[in-house]
Amino acid sequence: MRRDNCQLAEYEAWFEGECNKLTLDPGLIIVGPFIDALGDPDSSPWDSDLAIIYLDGMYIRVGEYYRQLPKHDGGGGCLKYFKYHYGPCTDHRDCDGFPLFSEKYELRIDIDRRYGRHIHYMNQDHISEARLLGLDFDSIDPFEFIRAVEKHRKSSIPLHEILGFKVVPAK
Amino acid sequence: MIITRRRVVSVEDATTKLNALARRCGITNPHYEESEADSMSEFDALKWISLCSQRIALQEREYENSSRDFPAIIRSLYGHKPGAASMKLENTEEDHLSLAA
Repeated sequence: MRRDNCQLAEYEAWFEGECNKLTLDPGLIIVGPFIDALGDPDSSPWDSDLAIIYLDGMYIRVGEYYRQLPKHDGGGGCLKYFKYHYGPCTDHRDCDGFPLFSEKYELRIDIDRRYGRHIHYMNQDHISEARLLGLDFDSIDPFEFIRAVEKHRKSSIPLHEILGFKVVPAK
Repeated sequence: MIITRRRVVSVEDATTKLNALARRCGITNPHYEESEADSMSEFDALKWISLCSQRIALQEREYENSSRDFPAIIRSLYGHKPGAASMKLENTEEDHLSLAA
């Protein structure tokens, strides 16, 4: 379960603990994890970024942005936007080593400014939360996503079955 | 995995990173607003929003620091915001007329 309304140090400890619980095959390329303090050194807002590049040309990238809550609401960081992406990797890298983004995906779960809560799955873009049964945007975290992809890669069970959601056809 | 915690320490640093991102995304004359992320690809947009918020936070901190540096006597006379009490002086049509009279 991800951390909300927490301080940066708590988030960092949680993130590190979850990273260390992952059992990844040797030989993968890990980019990050980076946590960028965006305001004061130990408080919100902040962002985090991590990529796992597989040898077969696929990769995971998970990025989160935590906004600052008002002081009367605790003043901690609160998850505002995230992107959990799994898809084919491009050959080019940015200055941090992350693969340059391409629109190709197997699954991407997003909360963003423009479309709110949605996913990209099975060649359908911007499937809104209203068409998703069983996917809880309030509780999913980067590590649940990574573990689901790992399981999918090892078992070929579809990602929606592992993550327990169904896409309702558009009306 | 070892987490790397990074910090951008100045408005200039944040602006440089924003400019580089804007260049890569084909945005000329960026206004450093969240809405500019709408035309960017997924992770660039996320980074843009982070950096915009960082830039604002750093600007506020620099502003607070500069305000704190103002001597107490000046603050008591002119308020906490440096320069806030001084108005831009401009000649108006009315002023010219009254002077002429």
